[in-house]
Amino acid sequence: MAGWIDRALALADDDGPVRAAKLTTFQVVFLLVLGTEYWARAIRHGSDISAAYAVDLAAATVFCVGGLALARWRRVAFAGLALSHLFLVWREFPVTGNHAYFEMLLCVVCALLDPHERRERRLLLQSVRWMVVSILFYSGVHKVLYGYYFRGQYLAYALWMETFRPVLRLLLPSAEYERLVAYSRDVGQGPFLVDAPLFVATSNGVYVAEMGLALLLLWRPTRIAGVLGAVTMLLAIEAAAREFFFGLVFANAIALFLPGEPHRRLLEPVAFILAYLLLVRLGLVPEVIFH
Amino acid sequence: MTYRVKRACVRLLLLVLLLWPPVHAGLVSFYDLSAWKLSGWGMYSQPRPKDVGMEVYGRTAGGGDYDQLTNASPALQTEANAFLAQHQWLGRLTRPDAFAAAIRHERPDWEALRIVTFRSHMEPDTGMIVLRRTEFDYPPRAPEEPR
Repeated sequence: MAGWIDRALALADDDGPVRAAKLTTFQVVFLLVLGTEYWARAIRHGSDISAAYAVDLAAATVFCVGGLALARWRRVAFAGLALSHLFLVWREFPVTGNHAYFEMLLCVVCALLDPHERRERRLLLQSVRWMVVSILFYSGVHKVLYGYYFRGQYLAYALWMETFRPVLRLLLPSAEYERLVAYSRDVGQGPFLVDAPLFVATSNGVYVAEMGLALLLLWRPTRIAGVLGAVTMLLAIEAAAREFFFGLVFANAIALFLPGEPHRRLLEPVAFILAYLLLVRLGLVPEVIFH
Repeated sequence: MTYRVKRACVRLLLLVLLLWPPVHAGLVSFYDLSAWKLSGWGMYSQPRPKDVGMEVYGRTAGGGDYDQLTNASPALQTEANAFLAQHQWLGRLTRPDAFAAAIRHERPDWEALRIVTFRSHMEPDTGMIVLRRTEFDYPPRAPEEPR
């Protein structure tokens, strides 16, 4: 069993050795996103935040700042953040979003494994890559299992969310768009079935892309194509779903599939996006809807 | 912590990553768990329910028809909301035991209780929004007993 698991883990290896800086910069980007996400959530709730969340926010802030400023204590900071996320999951259960579980798992492996130690660095890279592959693949599998993508049902239903409309409108004849937008999702309404070929093809393309990209990322010769495809799909999803923090955490993890140290180039744009999102929450720049 | 222990933890993590989502999908199919929650990675794979509601019926010891509970007390409403908040996402993995106990406390004359929950749901084949109904009986109904 252990041998089989190790062979599976090795599928996510690089051809050559991996430098510690690749993983440490990944961790820096991750800490920046986590810290900003905690504060963006707190600002959104304003004075309504509970005492428990305020304590959690204070602890998470200390861990994020400590982890960024003191590299030697970074694993301790990740351990603290894993506990902080565990608290959030427990407190919000079962409403907790999947991205909180993903972030918690990332914190756990970052707390457990030292990127400066060669063997642990390899395990860290393998485990984060497998998380990405698992999430992508099973996201596609779920869509096949429940059958809401074969005739565009889910995307038609998703038109009740304003952020989905500009994206999906491009794929629908105007009469069909007006019909679907008019539904209030009450019992008896429908059918949320669509005949527009482009819309149905896009709907079916979602799960095909998710499962296919997972395999492309895992197989070394197609890894770059997998990264390009995954980032393109993530951008398309975020244009509608607007879960920017999950998008940034996931993009950061996807970048680990690239050779070299891509996170160095990610650092500045990510910091800019995060600063902008905080300014939006503070009401200092024009509103952008995100969750 | 030694490298061997850490490697064992990562192996366990990989197993969980590969095995939990299929288990989760089974829970979605058989227990009506929401695909959106509990890290099965099924977000956006099925519509979220818009409407969730509940009706409560009780029957006195003499038998006869079930009467519907109306004008529930604030305490009962609080219990009902707490249950529905869980039930909306966890489906039949949750049972309204605490709520049923609270009803029995307020209506000791009821020998049998039936708690019926409703959730709006889209039928994937027809694309229509329908009500999905789940019943919880206290004491549990024998298989041959008519509704």
